[in-house]
Amino acid sequence: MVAGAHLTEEQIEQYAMGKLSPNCCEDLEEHLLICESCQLSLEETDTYLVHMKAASARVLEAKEQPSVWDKIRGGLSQWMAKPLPVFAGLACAAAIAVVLIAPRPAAQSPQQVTLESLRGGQAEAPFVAAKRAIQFSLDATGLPESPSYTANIVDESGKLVHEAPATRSNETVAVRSAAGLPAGKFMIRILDSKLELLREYAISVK
Amino acid sequence: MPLMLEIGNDTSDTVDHPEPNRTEAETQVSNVDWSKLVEKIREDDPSGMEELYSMFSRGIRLYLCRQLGLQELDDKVHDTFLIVINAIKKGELREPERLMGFVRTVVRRQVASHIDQIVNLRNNHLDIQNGVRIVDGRRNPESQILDEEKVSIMEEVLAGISRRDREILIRFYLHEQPQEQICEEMALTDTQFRLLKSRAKARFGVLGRKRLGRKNPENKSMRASASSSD
Repeated sequence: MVAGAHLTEEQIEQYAMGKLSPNCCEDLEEHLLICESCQLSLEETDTYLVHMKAASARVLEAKEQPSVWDKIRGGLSQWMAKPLPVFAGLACAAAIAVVLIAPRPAAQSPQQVTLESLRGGQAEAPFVAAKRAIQFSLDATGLPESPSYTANIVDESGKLVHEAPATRSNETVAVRSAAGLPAGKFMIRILDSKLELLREYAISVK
Repeated sequence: MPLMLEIGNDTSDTVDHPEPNRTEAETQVSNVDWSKLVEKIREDDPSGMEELYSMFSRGIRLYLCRQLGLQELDDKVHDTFLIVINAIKKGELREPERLMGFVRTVVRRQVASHIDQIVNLRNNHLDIQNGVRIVDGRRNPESQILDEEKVSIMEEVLAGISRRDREILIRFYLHEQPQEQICEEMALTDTQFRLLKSRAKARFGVLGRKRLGRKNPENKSMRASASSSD
């Protein structure tokens, strides 16, 4: 370099960082001895390097510090990496908890149906919903006394669809069909203890 | 060591110094009549001594300070001048045009001599001395606060650039990896690399002027105060 020519920023930076060869340093240092402008630039560069190093170190340090999310993620990874028996046990416990805690469909309350005995001329039978439990409440007015009653539900063709005990209380007989009935028309027959037909009720299921 | 702030300028593509009177300074350096100056010193002319001192004192001080620190700096500068002047008077400088090189050699010898002294002192006298002189390397609280502020500004600059650019700067400035290696591994041209450094410097300068200038209105120019402290 020419003694009178100023140093470039690049030269000053390399000199400040000690990256110049001794041969290059000779001319450069001679110039620095008398050039105030380059002296100032060198001082600035020295200061800049100090601050840049400190800031870079801090940035790097901050980057290496795990964030909260990293800690959570790390914890999960460790947990997942546990040996199989521990993991399997935890998985079973979780499954049981799900089964116990998971909401189940609420049991449907049975359809309450009150029927009167079928008499001639009755046009329409009452309707109930198909496939739902039905709690029949049958009119027992004038029903002969019997130690026990049985209810037979038959379809239109007379085929027995459901048989259940019937309970009499005062003027009603209670019959329950837990599974409900398929769509169609049915007859509910009340039999006495000797299985004699006492009375019939009609019902339509849709 | 003076504190500086105005590093880089906003014209980040250039590598010019921020000094406004740079051309003037360059002309001064080129136009020095070394023969005349050396002749004056040989003749014991006080103006020659004065000229030599005004020309070299700052440079010598800076060199010694960078190499040896602030301890007894004035004495070392004074010793260096005495050696140079005596050598010139004795006719040891045969080529006056080589005065800058001569001064540099003397300063380098001073540094080497001082380091030798320290090593010698440690090796031979440490065990028999009651105490060891330890230089208090701490800066004054004001300087420490200022430094801390500048570092946080630099952090802000680093946080404001892309991860890739940040990695490049950290590799260069913190890990001191060679430019060639960084450029090769990060697929950069030399120009891109220089531009990135230059922009970071300029950004640091702009942010620093904004923030520190606002906090310390009396200190309009860090450089001015630094120069006056000399």
